[in-house]
Amino acid sequence: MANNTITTADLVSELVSAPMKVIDRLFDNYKATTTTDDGPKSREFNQTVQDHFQGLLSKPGAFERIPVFGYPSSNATKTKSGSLVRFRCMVQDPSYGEELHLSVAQLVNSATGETKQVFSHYTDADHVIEEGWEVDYGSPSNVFTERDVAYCVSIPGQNEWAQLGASAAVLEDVLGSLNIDAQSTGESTDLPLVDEKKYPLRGCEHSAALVKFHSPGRAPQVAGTVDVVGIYELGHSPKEQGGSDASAQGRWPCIHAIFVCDITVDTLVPDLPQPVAGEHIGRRNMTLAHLGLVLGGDDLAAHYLLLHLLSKTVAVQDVKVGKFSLNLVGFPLSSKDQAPAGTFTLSSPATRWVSGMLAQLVPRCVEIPFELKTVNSSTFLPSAESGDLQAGVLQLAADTEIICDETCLHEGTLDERGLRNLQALQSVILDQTVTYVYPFQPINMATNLRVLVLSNGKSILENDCDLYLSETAAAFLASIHDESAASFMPLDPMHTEQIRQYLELARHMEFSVPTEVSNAISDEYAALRREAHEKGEKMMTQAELSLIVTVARLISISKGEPELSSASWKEAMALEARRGERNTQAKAARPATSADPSK
Amino acid sequence: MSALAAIRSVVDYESEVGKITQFMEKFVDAGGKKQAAMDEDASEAMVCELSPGESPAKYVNMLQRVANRSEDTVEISLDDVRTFEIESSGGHPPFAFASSLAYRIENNAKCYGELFSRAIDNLIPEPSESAMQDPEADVLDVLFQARRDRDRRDREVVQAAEQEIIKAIGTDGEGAHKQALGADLFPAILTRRYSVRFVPRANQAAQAVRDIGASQIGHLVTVRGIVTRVSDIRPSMIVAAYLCDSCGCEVFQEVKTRQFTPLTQCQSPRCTDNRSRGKLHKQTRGSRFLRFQEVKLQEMTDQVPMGDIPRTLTIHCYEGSVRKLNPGDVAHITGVFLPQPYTGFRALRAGLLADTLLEAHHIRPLKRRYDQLASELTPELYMRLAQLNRDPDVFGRVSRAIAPEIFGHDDVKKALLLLLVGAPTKRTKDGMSIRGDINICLMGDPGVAKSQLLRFVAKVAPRGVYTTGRGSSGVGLTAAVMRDSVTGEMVLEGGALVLADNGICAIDEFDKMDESDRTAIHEVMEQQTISISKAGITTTLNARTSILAAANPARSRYNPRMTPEENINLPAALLSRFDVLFLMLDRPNHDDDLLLARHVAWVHAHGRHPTAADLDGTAGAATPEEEIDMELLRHFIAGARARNPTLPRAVADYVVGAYVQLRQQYKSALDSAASRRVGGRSSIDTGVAANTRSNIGNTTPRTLLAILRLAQARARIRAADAVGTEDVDEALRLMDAAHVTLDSQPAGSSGIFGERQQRSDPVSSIFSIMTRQLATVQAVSASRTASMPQLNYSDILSRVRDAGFSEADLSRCLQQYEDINILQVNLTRTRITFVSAPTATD
Repeated sequence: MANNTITTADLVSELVSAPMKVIDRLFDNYKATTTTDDGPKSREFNQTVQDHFQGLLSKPGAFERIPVFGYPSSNATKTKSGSLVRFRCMVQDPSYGEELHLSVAQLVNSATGETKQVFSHYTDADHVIEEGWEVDYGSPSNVFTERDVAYCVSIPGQNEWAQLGASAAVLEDVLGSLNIDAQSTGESTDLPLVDEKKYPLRGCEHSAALVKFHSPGRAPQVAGTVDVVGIYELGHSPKEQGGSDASAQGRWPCIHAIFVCDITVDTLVPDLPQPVAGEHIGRRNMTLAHLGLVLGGDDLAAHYLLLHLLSKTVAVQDVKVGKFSLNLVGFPLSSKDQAPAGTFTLSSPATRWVSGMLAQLVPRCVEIPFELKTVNSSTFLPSAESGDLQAGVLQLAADTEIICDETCLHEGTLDERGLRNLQALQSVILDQTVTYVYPFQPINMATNLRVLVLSNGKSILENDCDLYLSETAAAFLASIHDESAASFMPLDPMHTEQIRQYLELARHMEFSVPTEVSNAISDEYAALRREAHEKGEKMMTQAELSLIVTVARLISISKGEPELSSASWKEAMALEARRGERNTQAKAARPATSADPSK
Repeated sequence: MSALAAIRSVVDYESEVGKITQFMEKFVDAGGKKQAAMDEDASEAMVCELSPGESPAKYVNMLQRVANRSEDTVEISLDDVRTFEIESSGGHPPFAFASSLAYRIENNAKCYGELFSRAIDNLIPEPSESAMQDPEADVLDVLFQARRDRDRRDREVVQAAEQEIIKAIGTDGEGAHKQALGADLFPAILTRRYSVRFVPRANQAAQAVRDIGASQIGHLVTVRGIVTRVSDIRPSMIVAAYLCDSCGCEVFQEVKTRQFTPLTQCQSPRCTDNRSRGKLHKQTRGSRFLRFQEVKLQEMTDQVPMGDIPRTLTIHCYEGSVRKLNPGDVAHITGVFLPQPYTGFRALRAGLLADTLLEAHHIRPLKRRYDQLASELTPELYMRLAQLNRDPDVFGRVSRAIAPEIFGHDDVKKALLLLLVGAPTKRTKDGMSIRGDINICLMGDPGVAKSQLLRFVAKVAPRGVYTTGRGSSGVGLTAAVMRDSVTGEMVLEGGALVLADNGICAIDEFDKMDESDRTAIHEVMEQQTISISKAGITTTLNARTSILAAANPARSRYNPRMTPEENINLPAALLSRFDVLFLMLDRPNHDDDLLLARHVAWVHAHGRHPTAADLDGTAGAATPEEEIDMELLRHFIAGARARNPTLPRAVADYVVGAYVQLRQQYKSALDSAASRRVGGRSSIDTGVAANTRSNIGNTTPRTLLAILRLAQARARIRAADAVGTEDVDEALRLMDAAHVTLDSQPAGSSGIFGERQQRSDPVSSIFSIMTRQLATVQAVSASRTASMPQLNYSDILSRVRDAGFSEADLSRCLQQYEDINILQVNLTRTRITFVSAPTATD
């Protein structure tokens, strides 16, 4: 079966349009080479298939030619059953369990008595079986395999630029060249199902599929993100059972994963080379300048926003280190009558401006407007009370930016559900845990989410750090209207890419604290405390110390330093002092009515 | 990839039935053997006699009871099967388990259940005399009687005709005939009045749902999990009976699947011969039904790997195993793991895929989760535990393992360890129980890591519940009557305290709790029950829980100018129920601050908590202690809880002595307070202020019980059989340590139990004058709702002068309270505004 004359491009297009054919050919090959009595070993062959696909698709440009499942969403209906797709997804519910499946079937022709073996590993449908053939269930050469089934959804809050196949033009090309006619395939007429209750952001457009993971040992984890390459077909959900009514049984999009890969920095910014060591400072200054522009020239706020964007939670037994939720105070209140733009989109121009800018920089961000209606009506925690795991707003992929808009919070009643929702958000901020509500035993799952609260006064949520914007910044934000936001374009695409890469790389940096620095910090802390006590001033608490260490750590990271330096610690102290000053001033300047009475 | 082995070694099922029969007849358990030893030679005869109550054979007795209808389940213990096999093989050589009958049963339980039933059918005796007189014959009895009568009549008719044939052919014809009439008619399962259930071997380990895979299909497996849902009990048909309308023949159909196609056409010889195509009618009375219940079992949190979510398994319960489980129960369920083919529409597409379920055989609900820990003890853990127990400073070491991320507070941690271990609960003969759970209250300034301590304790305890006084809504702390969302029935839902039964309930923000919940806690803390009468339900729930409470002082920060009583702000009735009350204050201390800062830096640097040696370079000389992780800590506590130390006479006397002494001191303190109150100048306020130990130092009979509890808990930790005087000393020390933190206030004290300074300082006296004035003003103007009450400065000044203080004293007082944000004085010094309204203290 040597096809030396065929070019790689042809192989790839065949792979994309008719993967089953390729697999069948491989299987014939495989059968010819192995002549053991105990029949083909499914797992071994599986590996062959996986290697073959991965090998071909690693060729430059090949990967991009695979159609993306569910993007843009209109494509979902066009995807042809049995074709190769890729899907960047979040595992929403891995509890569909294991499925027992006949992956190598012995077929008997009832008319002629002939027998043959088929490989049906990557399909559930019986179209591999031709007319007149039947499965011989008694045959010892049948091979059963187990596979994990998980309900996957497109990653909530995924920004446009971080989607797979962002270059939609290429995609259209491929589709055009393959000449896939949506109307000619019968299956495209019934729309693939999505379960609204299983997507975190209720009411937002998304795509979903049952992904069947065949490779052993790779158990999908809840809220994990992967790129899946596999064969698409319409199938049935193993959870829907009972009820012989055919019409009630939906047809779910299924993807038989051939291989999965993690989402890396390189796939997010594919066109940029790795930065050299000294480049960090330059990138940092550029980012700071950009963030400063976004925040109307408030340099301090830009610093804190950068630190916030770089923060990453590291679990230390039961303490979470490195989290840095930020509350920016001083956004203009949005008027009460402003119509909400949607359930999970921001309505006020100022907050939308900031979140729009951040969406350019981080791969995922989710907007939560604190509109009473939204907070009261949605569920923030994933719940399995009904037996099936339903998503909550906070069931998000790791590293998602949550932008809370408090400027649209007006007087009204927060009911019990709303209160629970806010409590859930609060526990994300403080503990970085999301509780999955299982009957009788809620399960706390560690997450890694960054929360940015934009508010007019001090937020109702307790954050790691709050900062009042400078007056100029507040004035700038108040002056933003929808039109002005559209006309203001501060960054060219090249620089945007560079900032994205800088942020991603810095976030994933290994980091340590040398002993000398930690000792110096300890001494200084004790000295400061004693000093404060002697003067009768307020003493620094453990929480404050933790915050400054976090700030110092993030400053070092932002400079690309792999370990904490004394300079960063000094800078952190200075930064914190500036913040304290700014906050006291701002509080004093504000009318007494808006001050928090408990303070 | 589990290719299912289709063919196993060939087993001769007939010989298996023989083995089973032998086992059923001959097996004598330990209790029976004792009896048999008394009259050795008679035992053989007794087996044959089948006289109930006298036979030493366990299963013969059981079958007799089944025949007498006093039981409907035959429980076969696999341990018995194994023992019997070993005994009958002479005990030696000890043949491999893999070739034993018990093993075969375990691997093919469904089939062997049928084999056992066949053996039992042959063995089952006639009901004994007493049972026969039982007038309660049920429908089946009546039907069987009718059928037997009819058969006999039929036979008599036929017999005459056949008599000659039999004579001609020989005797074997009769047997064949009987078979044709009897066995064909009644399926064996219809006449069975029992169901066979296997009890797993004692050492069979319980698995998690996710561990059970395709390789265990047909096996007897044991799973552990939490029951999330139970269905109603429904009848499940196993034999359908039909009556033919043309020939009157009864037809039976055995139902082995969940769904079946009912028969419609009569198959009896008469109908087939006549080609009459008799129509069949289903007879509900003649059919046999089983009680059936479907249960959903979910994995426990500890069985779920990090970052994964729990899986569920469907359990089918029949007959004897129904109604054993309720939602929320944790149980070991042993059953046969079976595939269930998809039915209905799904079967059309997914012919190769199957659903799985567990058919329950034996259900063991787990009530006490500490017990369950003991079964999970691995040899490695056992060694570490033994090593730990040998350490002379085991108490200190283990207590340091509590919340290692928090510094200092050694005494608090020791007390918390005692709380985790607890003292044994005693039950007197008349049913009254004396609580063994230790209750502790931590009171302190914000930011001293109270909540972290609470969270840690709740996490360590197998049934720990962490809640906040304010945060618990809906069900709250106690219990509530709720409407079930699925069934719409009224159900009693337990709150935090009920959920923490046999565990620990950690309540944060105790001071901010609703009054109603706090009242309920009174009952929990002493009686360990919760009584409810709501929505027509009156019941008492168990809440045998230790309470660990954390509270902030009255004005959120401890005010040294005020008495502890004013600071603590909890009713005495509640306070006296706490065995120990700790006051944790935030005071600067260079060494501690340094350590703490090092710790924080260390965590950031290394991503784990430092050990003592890491932080303290000088302590490197000491051998590094083995780190006690949470797993070991849990097992240590479980081990300690299993002990039951006694109280020797001498130690009891010692406790009594100590208690009497405490009472004496308490009395003298009361007396001196009273005398001051009579003769004192500024009588009331100084009286209240001086008697600072009034509530906290209350020595009541409860104190005596608290000492005993703490001492017993410590003896448990020491792995001692008896409480020693050193335990009592430590208990007293811990209680004092809690008081010392109180008394070492700048407000001044001359000793733990000693006299207070005669005259309290002017600052607190003036403040109490202001407080009382405030209360009066509020009462008169009825403006209690005003958030910031105000006082007239000149008014206060005159009152202060009346009390014998100077204006300088007043301004000093105002300055101090202004600093801690309790009140404000306006610039012209005419008004005093209280920022946080002080609660009336009297």
